[in-house]
Parts: sequence; C-alpha cells; structure tokens
Amino acid sequence: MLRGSMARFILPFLGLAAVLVLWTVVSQTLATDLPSPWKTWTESKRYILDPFFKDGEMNQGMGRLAFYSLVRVAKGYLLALAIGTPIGFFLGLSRGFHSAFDPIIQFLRPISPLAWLPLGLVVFQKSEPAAIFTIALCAMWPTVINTAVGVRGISQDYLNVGRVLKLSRFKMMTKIIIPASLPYVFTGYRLSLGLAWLVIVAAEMLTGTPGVGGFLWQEYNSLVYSHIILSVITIGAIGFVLDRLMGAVEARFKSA
Amino acid sequence: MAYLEVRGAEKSFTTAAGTTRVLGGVDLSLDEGEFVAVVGYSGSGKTTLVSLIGGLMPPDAGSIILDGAPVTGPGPERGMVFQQYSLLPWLSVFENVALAVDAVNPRVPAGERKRKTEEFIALVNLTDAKWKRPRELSGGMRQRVAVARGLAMRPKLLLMDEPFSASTRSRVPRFRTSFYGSGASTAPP
Repeated sequence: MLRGSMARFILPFLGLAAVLVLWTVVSQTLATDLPSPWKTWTESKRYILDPFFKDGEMNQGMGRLAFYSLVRVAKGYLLALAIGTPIGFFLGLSRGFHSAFDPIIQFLRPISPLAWLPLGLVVFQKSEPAAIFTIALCAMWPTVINTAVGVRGISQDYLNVGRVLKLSRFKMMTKIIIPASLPYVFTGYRLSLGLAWLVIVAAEMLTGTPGVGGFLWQEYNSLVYSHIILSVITIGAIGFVLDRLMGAVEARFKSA
Repeated sequence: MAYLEVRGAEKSFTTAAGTTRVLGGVDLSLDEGEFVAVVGYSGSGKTTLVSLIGGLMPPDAGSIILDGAPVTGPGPERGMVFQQYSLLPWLSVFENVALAVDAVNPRVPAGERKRKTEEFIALVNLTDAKWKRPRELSGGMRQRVAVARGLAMRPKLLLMDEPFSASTRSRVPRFRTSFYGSGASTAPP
C-alpha cells in the first residue's frame, strides 16, 4: 500500500526535482547563458499569474498567446480531419483508389512542416492561411492512414451481414463501415492532434504571428532566454493536456 | 426439380501452403418445408457449403438453384444465421433486427416496420432485452437475436451455421423444440 502510493505520488516529484537540479547545475556551469529555474520563474511569473494582459502584439500573457495558438491549431486540425477522414475511407474501401494514391501519400507524409510553409506562403500570400494550410497538411496523415487501416480491417462477418441484407451503399456506410472503423479513426484523430500541435510552433516561428511559437522566436531574438523556457514549458503542458483529452475521447469509442 | 437444387458444387481454397479441396461435387435437393441438418467434423466443409448456398462466395464448379432461380450472390431470401452470430455490437437488439426488417420491407411505413421488428424480438422472448447491446447478453441470448434477425429477412430458406454451438447443453433441446416447433415453418407476418 505504502509502496503503491510512493510510486504513484512521490516518485514523479522526485523525478521533477532531479530535472530541476540538473537544470540548475547546467545553468551554473556548462551553459551560463541558460537561465536557472529560479531566474526563469521570476522573469516569467507575470505571464503565468496574469495570463491575459496585453502590452503589445507580441508581449501578452501566456493565456492569450496560448489561446491564439489553440485557435490556429483548431482551424488547421479541423481542416485536416475534414480532408483526411474521407480520403482514409476511400483508401480503405477502394482498391483502385489505394493503388492510385497510396504511393503519393507515402511520399508526402514524411515532408516536414518547415518545407510546406514557404509553399503555403507562396500560394496564399498571407501568413495566417499559410500556417493553417501547413498544419492541416502535416496533421492529416495519421487520420488518413488509421482510417484506411480501420476500414480495411473490418471483420468480414460484419460485411457479410450487409451483403446478405443487400444494404444500400449509404446504409452499409452508416450502419456497418463507419461504426466498425470508429476506434481506428479516433486513434488517428488523437495522433493528428499531437502533430498539429507540433506544427504550430514551427509555423508561428516562421511567420512571426502572435502565439506561443511566435512569442518564443521573438524572445530568442530579443535575448530574453527565460521566456524561451516559459514557452517551451507552456507548449509541453498544452500538448500533454490535449493528448489526454483526446485519449479520453478515444477510450470511449474503444469500449463502445 | 426440388425447391433447392445443389448440383456438383465444388470449392477449393488456395493458400501459401497449397490448394485444399474442401467440397468435391456436392449434390443436395431440398423440398419446400423440408429441414436438413448437415453433420461433419470441423474442417469438413459445412460452413463452406452454407456460404455457397448463401451466395457469399461462388462455387468453382456446379450450380445452385433456389425456387427456379440460380444463386449468383447473397440476398435476404436466403436468410443466414452466422457461426459467430455476427451481431453488430454498436447496435441494440432492436436495431440489429430492425436492420433486417427495414432491408426487406423498404416500402412499408415506419410504424409498421417497428411493429414487425418487435414481433420478431418477441418470438425469441427477448422483448425485455431489446435495448441491450450484444455484449450485455449471454451467448444463448445473442444466438436468439441472430435467429430473430434471420427470420426477419423473410427468407425462402434459412441457413444456420452451427446455430446451437454456443448454447449450454441443457438449454439446447428446449430451444430446439421451441424453435423448430413454432417459429421456423410459419414465420410471423
């Protein structure tokens, strides 16, 4: 009992303490430009304790900056789902479609957001749509691939029920194919959300738009290194929360 | 000619390990109202025969004719009760049966279809469980849902693949009697 609670509650704090100690030691010895944990806190606390202040376009509380980033991610992510889900279903349902487009998808998938963004800027001329385009393009692949795998993996028994009943294409989709593949689709959605959040930082850094990533890059250019750490921690915390939220949604569909 | 005529049906399956001939020239004649049980060891081709008659796969050779029409694919006039029941786990008992009722009665008004669905569920004594999902049911109850769904197809022929394999031994005789005694020969309206 004691061992169990030790492992659950005390060890994570010990791990955190070890990282803070290592950070302090490194900041005092190896990399003296790296702010110590305490310095980071004193220089950053306003951004956390007063999260919605706004002194200028790029000097705002973390709550505001995170909100801008989250809205941008939400747009790109929803676009990714809107495009990726149907493509995934087509890939899973049609052998011909799979043969035609799978090689292209495998080729496009590993391309970094840093490569897409300039192209987005060329096409859209503005940084905001370019950023959303980049997020959507990078984040949609897990949705595409998991949906396709889920559709292709549907038990032949379920499909046979539909065949014997001579269900229409529409009923086959709504009654059998979509519900049977939902657990895979939502695994794709969770992975896509993680990717969308990874891409936002790169997109904001390159376009200089207000948001956590844009703030990070600006503070690097202004030599306020403690704010880089503040941004990194904020990005990590939000990414963690997003993943947990999507994980809970996914678990609901797995048990259904 | 009999109601169901299977003539020289053959089926082989090819895997990496080689070709296995499962059915080598099966003949079967069934008259209307007749009941036939096919018995054999596992692997002897019972499921394959059911799948051929059900039209889920074509025979390599031979012909299958039901009521004068050759079998070319699956259809509700050859209702099937699958080996693992194949109930759709995301649908309730009612919705599973309704799927079949709606499929074979597309022009019937919704209220009438609902009434028919409830009749088939009542026929297998599952009215109290009609909003449950398959995973909340016992093996025997699932099997009764599958039978209700098979009957709901209003089939000319009901194909059942090991329909009693999941029943407890003690319940099999009772269920067999009630099923073959009441439901099978005269399906409800």
